[in-house]
Amino acid sequence: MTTKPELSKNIDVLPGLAALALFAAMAVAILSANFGPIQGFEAGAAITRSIGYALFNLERAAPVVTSEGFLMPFLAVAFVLDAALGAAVMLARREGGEE
Amino acid sequence: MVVETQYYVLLSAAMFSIGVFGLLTRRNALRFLMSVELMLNAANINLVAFSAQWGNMTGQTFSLFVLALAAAEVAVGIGIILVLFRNFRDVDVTEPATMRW
Amino acid sequence: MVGAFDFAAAIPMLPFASFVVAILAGYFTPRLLPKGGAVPGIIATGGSLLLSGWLMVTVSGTEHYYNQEIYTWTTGLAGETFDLSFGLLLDPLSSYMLVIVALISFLVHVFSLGYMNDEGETGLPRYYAGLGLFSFSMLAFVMASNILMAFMFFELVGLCSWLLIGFWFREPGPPSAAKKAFLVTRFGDYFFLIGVVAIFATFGTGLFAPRGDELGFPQLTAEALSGEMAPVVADFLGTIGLEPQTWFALIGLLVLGGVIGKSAQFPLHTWLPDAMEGPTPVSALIHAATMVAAGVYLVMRMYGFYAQLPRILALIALVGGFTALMAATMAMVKREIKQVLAYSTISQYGYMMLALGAGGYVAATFHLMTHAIFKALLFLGAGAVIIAMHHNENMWDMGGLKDKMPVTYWTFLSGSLALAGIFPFAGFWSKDEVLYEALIHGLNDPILLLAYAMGLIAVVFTGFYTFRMVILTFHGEARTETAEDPGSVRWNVKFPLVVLGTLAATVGVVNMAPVKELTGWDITYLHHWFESGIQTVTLGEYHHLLESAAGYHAADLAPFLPAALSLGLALTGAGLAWILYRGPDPTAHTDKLGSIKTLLYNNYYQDEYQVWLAEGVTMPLAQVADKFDQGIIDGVVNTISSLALFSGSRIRRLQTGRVTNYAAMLTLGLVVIVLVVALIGGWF
Repeated sequence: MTTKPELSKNIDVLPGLAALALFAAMAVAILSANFGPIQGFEAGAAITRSIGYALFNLERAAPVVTSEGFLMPFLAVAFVLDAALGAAVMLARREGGEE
Repeated sequence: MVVETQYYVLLSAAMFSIGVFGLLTRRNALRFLMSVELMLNAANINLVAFSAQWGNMTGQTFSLFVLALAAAEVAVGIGIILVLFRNFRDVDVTEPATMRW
Repeated sequence: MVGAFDFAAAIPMLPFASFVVAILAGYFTPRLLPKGGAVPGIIATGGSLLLSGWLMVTVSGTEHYYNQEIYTWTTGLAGETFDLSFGLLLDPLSSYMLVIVALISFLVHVFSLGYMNDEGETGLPRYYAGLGLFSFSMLAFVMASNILMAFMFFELVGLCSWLLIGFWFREPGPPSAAKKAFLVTRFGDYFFLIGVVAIFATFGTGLFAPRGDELGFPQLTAEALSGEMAPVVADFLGTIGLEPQTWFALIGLLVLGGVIGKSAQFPLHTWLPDAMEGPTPVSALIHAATMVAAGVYLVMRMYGFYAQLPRILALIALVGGFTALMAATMAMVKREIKQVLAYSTISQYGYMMLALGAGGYVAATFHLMTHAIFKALLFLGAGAVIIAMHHNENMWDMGGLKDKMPVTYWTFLSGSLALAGIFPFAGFWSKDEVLYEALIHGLNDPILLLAYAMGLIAVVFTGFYTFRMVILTFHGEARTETAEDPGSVRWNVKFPLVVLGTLAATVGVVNMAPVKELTGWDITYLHHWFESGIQTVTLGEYHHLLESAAGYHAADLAPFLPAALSLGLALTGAGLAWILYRGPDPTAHTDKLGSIKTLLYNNYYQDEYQVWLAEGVTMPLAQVADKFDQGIIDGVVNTISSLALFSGSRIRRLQTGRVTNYAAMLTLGLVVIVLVVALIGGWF
């Protein structure tokens, strides 16, 4: 049997008001702001390919958009993910050894 | 048709606020994780929107890193929730309130 | 060439070594310590005595004196402030005093073998450590070349006195007496300390005597008063805006506070009789011969300073004369042998102060020496009697000891004759010179004449109490069983007695001024002794200063009549005692004095009024200060801290430990920040 989504009534509304207030404040600020015209990319720019090259510090001619290199952050994130995996395994393991 | 950047930002703000709302009103730790995920991706929307605004690749590339870090965060978060469940037989975040003064 | 000066530092260091040995060996290996520390002490003080003698010979032969810095322990800013250092000043005065101190110290160590070791006392290493430390401090004090060093060792001497008076700390009396001695002398030393600071502030130096080009402060004073003020002194006087004469007198008074406390002068004399609670050799060493002399010695050391302050000199003379008289009256009614000696000590130091105040520098040094000898002798003799009487000090329980302890009797008699000032014993010559100096200067100065009169009357009382003591102790018939069969004493008691007894009878030859007048022989050796020395620290300079700065003029008077007068008075006193207390079973005559007796027994209620001063005046003041401190100063601090505590205890309730609440607060904070930034940035 499938259940259809249903509005939960078991919530604390009062703190939720704070979130609404935050949205209101940000919305007012954003709507009153002016970011100027959109510059955008050149027509026919290969965005996804550009991201791939940028991640490995590679330079290519157009239509690849040139950008700064991200090899070092890439490696750093690789380590962070590795560490997170290890941490998750360590946390998930039951205390008291193998099972 | 070109959508003004500020509407992207407004969308991002809305998503962020929804995340905050979930964080503030719910007590289930798993729902917490989902809310945090919403908030992180609200930031991604901003990155991509401004990348398009200035014609600069950095924002889009960076959003990839945010996704990767979100994955790491979820991995650790789920681990913590597992421990929480093991200790309290529940995933209600209001239960563990002993780590104060 | 290696001379005595090169070994001078060893004079105090030897007793210090014995102190270290006694305290370390006594703590770790008491069995290895021969005689509980007496042997190292005797060797050390014997060595000091030999070195002092050598030093004295060196000093006497030449015009070669030693005044050197040996260790600078604080270096001041160059040109702006001054250095603080330890130095040695070896001139006729200090070498003379060193011999006295070392001699008495040595003999007291020997005597202690009989008084402490043979009596089976416990804690001997502590006792000998105290004696060693005391000898060290006193010898170093005597050699001090500047007033700060002198002050430090002055204090150390007081500390040793506290340690030794309180030697029998398990009994109720000694600790209390020790505390009293310490506090009363500290009270005086407090003024002395301010005086030291004042001297450094005024003169920028604390030297007693010129060293190379550096002048000592007495010399700077002389320059200042004669109009050639050194710039540093002029600067300081300009700052405080006082006349030099007034300010110097103030400094002199401050330092005099320490002198009065240490030398047990009125009104700070009350500690000395109580200090008799200590072991008798300690009384002999500290409270008769040496420590009490420290105060008087200090005045002698800086006599070049005092000699220029006529008002302070008059005060010194007056205090001295009054103390001599008052203490002598109190000594007349005491029952305990040591109490009589204690009051006589106060009285005799009064004489020295009288001499110093009256311009009789040589007379004071002479009396200091003879007194050190005969009073040490009397105390040691009293110690021997106390050993024999199994520690009963009441003279009314004695009597008839003459035949049973002949050595003690004859030596004690020699000391008594010296104390009473009977011709030709040492005390006669010195006391006569004190009174003579007071008289010849007093003929031109009524204050000095008054002081002289008091000193002269005290002679009668001195003769009386001395012979009352001798007669009650040694003559008549034994009044108790202990006195019938007294304990015996050994060589270690008799040897110091014989040495001192001989000296007490003969040492007067060093300065027989009246004989010189009579015969014309040049035999006032002590005068010649002090005429040499470092320039401007000599007798001639002092006389010059006394005449030019203080306006002292000696009247021309032959010494025979005053000498005969004081001798006659002393004999009168002695004879009176003989008449009243002779016979086999003397009666107590003190009851006939009526209410005066009560007054004398209670020492003129000195203690009572000082206690009243402490409890009735000082304590309420201290309580007010305490209230201010506790209530206002502490109150402010406590209020601030309790406010912080209170607010902290309230604010911590925010920390619920629920993640949701923290997140809500963060959110609200973010809202506020956004609003504030937006309002300030004018986005709306």
